[in-house]
Amino acid sequence: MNQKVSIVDLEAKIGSPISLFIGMGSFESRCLTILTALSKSTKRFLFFKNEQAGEIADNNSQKMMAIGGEKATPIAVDLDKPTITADAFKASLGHIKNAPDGQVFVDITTFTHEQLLIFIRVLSEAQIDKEIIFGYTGAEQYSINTDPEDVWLSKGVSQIRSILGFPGEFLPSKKLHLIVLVGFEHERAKAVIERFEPTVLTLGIGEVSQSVSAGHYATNQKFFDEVKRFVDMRTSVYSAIETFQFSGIDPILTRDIVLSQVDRISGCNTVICPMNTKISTLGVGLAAIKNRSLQVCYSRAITYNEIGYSTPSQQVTLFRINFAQSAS
Amino acid sequence: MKSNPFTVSSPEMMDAAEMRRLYVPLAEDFEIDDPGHVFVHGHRGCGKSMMLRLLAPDCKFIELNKSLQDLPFLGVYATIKSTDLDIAEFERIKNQYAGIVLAEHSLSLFLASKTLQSLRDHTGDCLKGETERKELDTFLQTYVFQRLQLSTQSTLTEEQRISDPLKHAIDAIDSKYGELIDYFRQISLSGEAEEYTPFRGRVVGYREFLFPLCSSITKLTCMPSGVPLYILLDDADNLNSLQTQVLNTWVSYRTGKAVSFKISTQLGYKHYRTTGNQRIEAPHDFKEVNISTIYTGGTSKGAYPKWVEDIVSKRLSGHEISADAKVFFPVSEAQEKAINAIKEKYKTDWEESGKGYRPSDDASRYARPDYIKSLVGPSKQGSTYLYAGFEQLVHISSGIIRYFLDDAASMYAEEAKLLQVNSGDKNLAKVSFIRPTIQDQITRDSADALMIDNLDKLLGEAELDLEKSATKDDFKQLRNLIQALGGIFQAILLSDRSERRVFSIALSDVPAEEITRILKLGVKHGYLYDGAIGSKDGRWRTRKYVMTRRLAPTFKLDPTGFAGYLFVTSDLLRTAIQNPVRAIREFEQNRLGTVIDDNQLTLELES
Repeated sequence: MNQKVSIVDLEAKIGSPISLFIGMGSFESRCLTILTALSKSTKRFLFFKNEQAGEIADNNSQKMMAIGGEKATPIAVDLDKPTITADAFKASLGHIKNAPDGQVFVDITTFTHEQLLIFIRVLSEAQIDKEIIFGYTGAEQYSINTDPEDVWLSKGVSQIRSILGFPGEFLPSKKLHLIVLVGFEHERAKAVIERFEPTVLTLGIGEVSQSVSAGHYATNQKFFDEVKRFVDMRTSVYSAIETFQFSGIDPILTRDIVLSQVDRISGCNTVICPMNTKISTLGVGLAAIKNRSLQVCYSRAITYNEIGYSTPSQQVTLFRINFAQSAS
Repeated sequence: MKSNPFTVSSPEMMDAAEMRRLYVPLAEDFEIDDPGHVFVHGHRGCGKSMMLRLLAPDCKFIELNKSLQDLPFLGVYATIKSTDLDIAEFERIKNQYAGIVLAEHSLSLFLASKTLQSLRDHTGDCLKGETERKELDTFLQTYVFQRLQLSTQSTLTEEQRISDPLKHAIDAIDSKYGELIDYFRQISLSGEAEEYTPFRGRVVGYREFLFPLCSSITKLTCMPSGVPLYILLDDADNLNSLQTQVLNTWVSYRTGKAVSFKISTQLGYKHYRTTGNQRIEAPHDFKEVNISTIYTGGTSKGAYPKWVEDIVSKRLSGHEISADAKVFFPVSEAQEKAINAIKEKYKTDWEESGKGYRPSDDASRYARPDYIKSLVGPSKQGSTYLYAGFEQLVHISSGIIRYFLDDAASMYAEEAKLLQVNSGDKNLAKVSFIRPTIQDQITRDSADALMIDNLDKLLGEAELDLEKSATKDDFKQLRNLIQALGGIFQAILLSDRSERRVFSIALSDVPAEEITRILKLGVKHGYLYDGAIGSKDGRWRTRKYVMTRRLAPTFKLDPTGFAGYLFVTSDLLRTAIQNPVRAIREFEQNRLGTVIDDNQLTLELES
């Protein structure tokens, strides 16, 4: 069950001390929001940092290490080498398993979609019988350095790849069903659709009552319409184009919705590309862990709006998952 | 069917009837249907997939009006999607030899399954009779089940098996393929420190599995006898490096008389090395066709525009729009009137000051450039040149049909939107023509996307080290080169030279490696097309590079012809890739380069 908590109430809401806090350094200042709120009640910290991080992300990582002080351990991951990232995540398992009494908290806000999925695959594989708390800080505003009509978060797609640990069960003779959870990065969504040329295409949009905010829903709807228009115009013979709504704030709900969408189309290889909130991406990961025939893919952007990507909101979404109990 | 007649469809998803409805024979005979391995290269959307899909039996039935047994070859169509074969787990295979074995295993199974699926999908009812099914069943027992060491006896009765032998064989191959994916899943999270887990299943390859299966299938009585089987492999760029090595090795076997690979690439094929690190080469090992190059070469004169016109007519009539291409994409009448007035003046003045052999030569050569000059030169009239009219749009598409159709689809959508707004009718209004201003705007947007957005993207990619074949500096130099060439071509258009419609350069000396690299980069990314022409003195052949006419609006050029090409030196190109402004200035000040007339490069519209 997920719950939305004001950042000022977060520490009190969690109650008992946190034995291990896990976060990801990023160019987004959102990587500091939960950490700052929970730093006093945390015993140890584990911070991942991408090798390719730019100056802004480096500065934020340094701030994270400063907050953690002697209790912090940095671990390097790699944006372009998923196997290195997976190995780093596996190395962190010992920290989680051996965490002293208390709770393990993972701030998923600034993991990349790919790294988040690999991380939960590692957690799922390890079958740690422990309830892990996941937290996500929504954005108050995106693309803060542009006019509303020029909003951009990322540009271009350098590569589309399957996510390590989610190869699916592709059967060569089957047609392709592509499911895209459309977010704000509509150019990336278009590129994925164009690259795959699926036989069946399903486009998902966050449900209004399950969106991070009404404003984000409106923006998402605008970009969803743009992707839909692109699909309508560029392709005439997809045998089916379906649309559905998912939750941007509840991973279990999204998991179940995605699984039911997959079941609607039989006899196809299914690829899912999650491009909405990290929470919905986590839901996709849980769906693919439950139904291993699903392949999950990631479209690597060429460049990000690092300077004005987002500002943090004061609301944190929390949910708990015990992977040993299959996240059911 | 959606209402936009110019939407682009994937040939993989089209049935033979739809293929024939939309298909217009290509302007060139590429002779890819002869036995032998072929690589068909071309930018995205130039018609490669269509070309391959049309070689499948269902399309050949309609085209040749022949039955399966009478076909000259048996084509099996197999398309490779982005993450079909190239999955992240391949990175876990540390041992190079094991990687190659598994790459061959995966590719063999993938293509065997695709081959049988294509036969199932693309042979109509030819294989559905009881006799055919029985024969197929016996064949597949030998060439699939025995070779994969699978038995169907335990799970299926003979009757069940014979009901759809292809499907059962496909399921069996798919299941073998699934074992491999399971293995990859198993090793996906095995770290460096852990002991390597080898694949323990039976592996197959080309020689003992795929080739016998494919080469023997035409020996069945229900199949065309004694003809080769073609594996029509679409989008081979999507193979990973190891799988590419494997495919190259198969090409090197030269089994073309029995089994030929017809391989399409979007100019992003990884490499031409075999598993033994030998290089396969054309024409020794395979034939190579570059569609983009051929369409800008001499032999296609007039053919491409006619082809596009036929495609447009077919698509419009399929949507019950009774207009031919030139009516549907009209010119700006005011603009053409002004250009015609200039033409008439040239004809009148020809006897006194004419340069060409006939009055019409000067008129067609100078009128449009003069008009553009009047808009952009010192005496500019304040209006803008409109890139509108079917003829201009065809030239701007630069030989790539997808460019034409994508722009046309956007124009149609924009026109329909405007009609809806004006009429207040929410239903999609029927479009009977595209107004010139919309044609112009979409064409300019596409040019901006190519010159600004796409180059930014390439630069960003290089910066992140994701583009392995070129550095960020290379792309900066490419941008400089294109800016310089565009600027120089504009300077020529605005000059008083005898030939002002120039879009191409030829090299008057041998350029240094660093210049060639940038030129090749331009070709790879669709900014330039390459070819060869006779040198200025006619003694040898030299390289020519044609700039894509999609950039005509960026540089305010006349896209309707490039009757001349500019011979340039390496020195000018060296300056161009470093400092485009200086290159243009030096070119203008010193009148560098020689423009040679050559109608070989002109894409003419048939009137």
